[in-house]
Amino acid sequence: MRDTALADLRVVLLRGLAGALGNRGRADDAFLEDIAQESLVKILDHLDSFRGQSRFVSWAISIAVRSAISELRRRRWKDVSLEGAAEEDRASHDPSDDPLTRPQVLVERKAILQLLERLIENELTDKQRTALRAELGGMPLEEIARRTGSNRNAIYKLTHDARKRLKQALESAGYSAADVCAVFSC
Amino acid sequence: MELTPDHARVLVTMLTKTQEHELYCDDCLCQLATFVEHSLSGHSFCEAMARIQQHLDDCNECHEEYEMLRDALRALGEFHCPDQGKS
Repeated sequence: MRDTALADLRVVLLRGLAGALGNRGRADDAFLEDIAQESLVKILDHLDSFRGQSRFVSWAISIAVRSAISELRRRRWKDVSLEGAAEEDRASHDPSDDPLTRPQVLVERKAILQLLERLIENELTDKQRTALRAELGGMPLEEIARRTGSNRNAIYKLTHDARKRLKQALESAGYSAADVCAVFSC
Repeated sequence: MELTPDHARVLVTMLTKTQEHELYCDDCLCQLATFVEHSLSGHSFCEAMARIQQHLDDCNECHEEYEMLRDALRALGEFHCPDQGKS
């Protein structure tokens, strides 16, 4: 009976994963099967942690989705270092993207850019600076954690503390985040 | 490292949304399945769920996981959402 239940759950996981990943074009059948099998093991290992706050299927699918997304992110970023993340993103930026920007706005942007660089350099710890730069380059927190021997939750806390410091320093320099947003058309 | 205007735009948007006290990823993720059920069923949110929403607005990574979980549960036909167009 247990084998039947596991087989049924496997089918549910595969359908759910296909729904989550299929229209994003990010996974083939072999990948889905691997993740489903891996998730079945995790679900069985963590059955005691199911509290009934959500439906069992929702809880089980959330484990499968997390496994899938974690693996996809690992594959996407496996050849990119922390320092490389920011540089890779910078290389794709074309300064001439917005030819209609008024010269005055460009001058303001340059001044604020220099201020932000100075604040990042002076206000943050080395760990905060490294994590934030990688995050700005698009690297997922999970991947930052992997490279620094930490975990995603701790990296979120690290970057949250960094953001609070920068926000405060920006305000001390006479700028509100909202004002700066307006200059950069956020 | 030299910031690009795109970096600055992303950074300042993040700073605008930064709160003194925020929910971290672990607490968000352990309630994500319940949150997705609420959003797919059109139920109103209690305060705890509102904090989840706030974290999802700030954390791209958790937001992506929310979207995928939502799509997975929709694919299973587990919920009948009154407004399928909502993200």
